[in-house]
Amino acid sequence: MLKIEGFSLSRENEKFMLINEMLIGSSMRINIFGNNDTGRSLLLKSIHGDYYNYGGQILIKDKSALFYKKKKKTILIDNTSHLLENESVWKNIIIPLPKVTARQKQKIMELCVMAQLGDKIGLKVKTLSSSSKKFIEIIRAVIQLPQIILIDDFENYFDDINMITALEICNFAINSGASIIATSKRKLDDFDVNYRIQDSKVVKL
Amino acid sequence: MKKGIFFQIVVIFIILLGWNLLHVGYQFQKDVFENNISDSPMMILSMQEDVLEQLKLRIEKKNYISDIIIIQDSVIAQTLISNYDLDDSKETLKSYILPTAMQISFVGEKFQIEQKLELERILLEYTPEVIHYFDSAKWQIAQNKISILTNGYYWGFGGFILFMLFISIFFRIHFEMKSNTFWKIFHSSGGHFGKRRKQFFFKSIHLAFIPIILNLALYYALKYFQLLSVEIDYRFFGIELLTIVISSLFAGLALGENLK
Repeated sequence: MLKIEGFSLSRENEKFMLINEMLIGSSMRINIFGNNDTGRSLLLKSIHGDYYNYGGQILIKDKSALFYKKKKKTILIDNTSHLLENESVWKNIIIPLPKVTARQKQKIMELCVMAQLGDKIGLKVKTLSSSSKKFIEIIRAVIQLPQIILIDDFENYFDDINMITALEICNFAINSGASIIATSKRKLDDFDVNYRIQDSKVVKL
Repeated sequence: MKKGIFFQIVVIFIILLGWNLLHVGYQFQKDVFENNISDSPMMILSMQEDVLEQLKLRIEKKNYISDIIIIQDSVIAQTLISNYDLDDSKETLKSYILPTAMQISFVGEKFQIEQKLELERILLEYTPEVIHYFDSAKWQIAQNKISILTNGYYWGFGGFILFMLFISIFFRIHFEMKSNTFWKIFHSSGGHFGKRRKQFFFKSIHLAFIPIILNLALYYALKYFQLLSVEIDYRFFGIELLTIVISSLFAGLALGENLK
């Protein structure tokens, strides 16, 4: 589904991230880990189509990022909060949905209960913790069943228990064919494939 | 966002109401001045009735003539006798030869300077067989008043167009900019690109048609209950609609990339 070939990121004529080839199929959980300033966030932005200043090519279902400029098949959850702080949890989850079907409504409730947001569905987002806010963003992404969900600095928001819950929530999209690519500073468990950024190169473990 | 669109609809409705009131007021006052002209007929006297008949045939088809009445000398004599109680001198009066009179009533709206000059040229051809009497001073005063009123109306009309453009463009941009955060989150959370543009278009449709329809409904309600005598031309509502549509186009252009 995702094919990255000869990918490189440069800063002042110095290449700091190289990927010779990365193939990611559907229904996969991928973890890319490495230190700060190794280009993890830029890689995700490049896959998402928000950053174009890179070498090589990124293809999603054999089409370049430019093809998906206006009809994105990926959802990027980055470090900044993308929530309406004065709106309820429910309103924030359904923002991108054109119409909320009964099935979606039921699924959202189930996922909210899993994330311990079941009784907070009507609360304003500004009253919640940062991990709850990230759960909202993950539920919102998962319910749309995109082809790839990109999560930057996955371990930043969750402790080990919440991390397991977050991956369980992601399973809903994974079971429907979506793949998860999460970056982190350390190697995360429960992922199908782990990549390490080592000496500016992305190496499959 | 819904509050924003509702507020804009109310504001545009109120401006259109003011604009329509300006038009109705202008028409009403113009009718009053034109009725003053209609109420002042021209009297033409001639000793030769056939000359008056010829004159009547020549001018009766003119669009600024509403009515022509020929009053024969016997009728004039009878009117003088009854009006001034001259029964005793009835025979004496009958022995005089009185002129035949012709009363010309005008369509106030159409009897303007060109028409007046045209009529005077025609009457000159029949001089000295006919003598005419007309209150030109009253006609001139009415014309001057209509001219001042029309100038004022055009200034007001232009002012309303500019005001409408300014207010509606300003509000559109203000409310769209205010919703930028929402749309940023909408797009970053996976919402469809192009939805904002589509929604902008639908909002424009609402803003263009709802206030106009409300004003039209109000106009027809007043006409139905016979509370309004003045007619409003359909083209006037067309200009109002066009102004709102243009304001939406300008707002769309000004917002540019924000609408993607």
